Amino acid sequence: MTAFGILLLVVTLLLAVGIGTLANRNVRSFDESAHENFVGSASQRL
Amino acid sequence: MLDKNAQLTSDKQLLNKFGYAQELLRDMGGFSNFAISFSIISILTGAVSLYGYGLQFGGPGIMGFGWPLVAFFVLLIAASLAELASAIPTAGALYHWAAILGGRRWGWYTAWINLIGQIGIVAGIDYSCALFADPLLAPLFGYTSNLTTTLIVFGVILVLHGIFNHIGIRVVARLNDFSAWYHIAVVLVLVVSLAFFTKNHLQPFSYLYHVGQTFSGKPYWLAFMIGLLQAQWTFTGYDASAHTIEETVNPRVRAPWGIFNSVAYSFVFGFIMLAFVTLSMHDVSGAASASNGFIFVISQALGGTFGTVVLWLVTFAMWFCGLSSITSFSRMMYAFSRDKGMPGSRHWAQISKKYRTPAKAIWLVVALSFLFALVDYVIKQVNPNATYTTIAFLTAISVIGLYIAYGIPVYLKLRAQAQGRFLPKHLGPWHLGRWSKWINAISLLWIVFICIIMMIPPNQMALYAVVVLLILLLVMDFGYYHRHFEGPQAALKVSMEEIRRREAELQ
Repeated sequence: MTAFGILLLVVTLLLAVGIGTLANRNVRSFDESAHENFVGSASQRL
Repeated sequence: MLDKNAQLTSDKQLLNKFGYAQELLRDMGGFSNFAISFSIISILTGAVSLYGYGLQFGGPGIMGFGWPLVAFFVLLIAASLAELASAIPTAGALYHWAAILGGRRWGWYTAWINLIGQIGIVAGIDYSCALFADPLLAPLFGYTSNLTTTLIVFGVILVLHGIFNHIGIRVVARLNDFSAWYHIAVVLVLVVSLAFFTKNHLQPFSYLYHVGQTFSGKPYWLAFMIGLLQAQWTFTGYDASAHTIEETVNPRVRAPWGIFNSVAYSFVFGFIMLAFVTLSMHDVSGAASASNGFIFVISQALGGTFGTVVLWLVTFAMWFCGLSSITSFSRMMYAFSRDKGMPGSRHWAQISKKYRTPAKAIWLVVALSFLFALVDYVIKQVNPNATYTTIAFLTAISVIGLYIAYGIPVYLKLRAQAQGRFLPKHLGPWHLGRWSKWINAISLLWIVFICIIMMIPPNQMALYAVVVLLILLLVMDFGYYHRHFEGPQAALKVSMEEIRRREAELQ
């Protein structure tokens, strides 16, 4: 059970690092000119 | 990279696009935004105050397996919320996202369910603080700690938090920054103390993964799941980074990081703390049956005076946690009232001109939180044989309320994506790319699972409370919603002249 517990710990750590790396890459490559506020399109619908 | 003034102007213009004036003082940096969520998650509050609860149901194994298991799924939920915060950076957060993605009614229900959870979390945190502070204060002032004195201490703590929140975000932000370092420092003190000064040797590492032991009388698999409340309640309140988004500089990047990092760092430091506390335990049945399992273990491991010092340190951490949770709750209430979502909205949306804080909303939060615990106190006085504990009731309510409110906008985002309304161009800088849908879907499955688990006995009182509150919401839906609630969409009709006038009023 100890090995299984350590595996769970490592997997959770890897998940945190993985999501963090992914998000960081996306923040750095963000293109403001291609972005549109969602509230605009929603306001037309409602 | 913009300089601070240019960034502030850009942030204000972004908020104006949603139809809102920059009323709150935008002064929080990235660390402050992280610190408020890290302080509310507060590994020294949730994991500590429910330590005995966790042991009672899941034995030592709940610490080794339960904490990372819950953290795994909460990281996915936090990432889902962070993505939404980056796309729609307003203080209403969950309810605002739900209203924009799904319509007014979705937003209205999300807001109220979020409010219920927020009341539960503020009351739960400050009640935990009172549960620790009251027995520590009793010998100093020569009284005997009981339910009544705990309630009084709880009231005093709430009032103190109300005052600090009233006098300004700068004070609270500085205290939150301090709180984040304080939490880490106390965990280190605790770990070093237990590693080197424990009266007995530490248990072998494998003890942390000892499963099959429960003191609940339930089958172990079921008891283990019920025991997950300990970790699940700890990992709540990280939406605070989104609720303070209108007070954060460069919010589309810093608030999502605040949400996600607060969960990630809490997972790491929380695990280290729980591991050492559990490995220092030599009487698991005594700890599980003690009125406060954590105090029992620390007292056994470190002895009288040293143990008392550590308990004071933990109590102060809880105090900081409560302070942050009222900040978060009051901002949510302010934002909801700004959209006329509550009876008396005009009052709760008012900003103190002197302090630039939602003063009336802050004091309403204090009153409601006290009322929540007071009702429970009265029930206990009428029925002294009640088998549930106040803290388990408050925490179960907050987990259910908060996680349903977390789940609704995530579900609505998936729905809007499937309908082709929410497109990649609508995502903010912090997003999950092609992994987004999978992460959102798994998050929703966990939320459904955990809400069911939190409502089964011995937490059936949480189920009854949720049912009663939902009936109340339905009544309010017919009585109030139709006539008053315009939703955040109404703000889009506000002219720029009106927005500038409101901003000028507060200069």
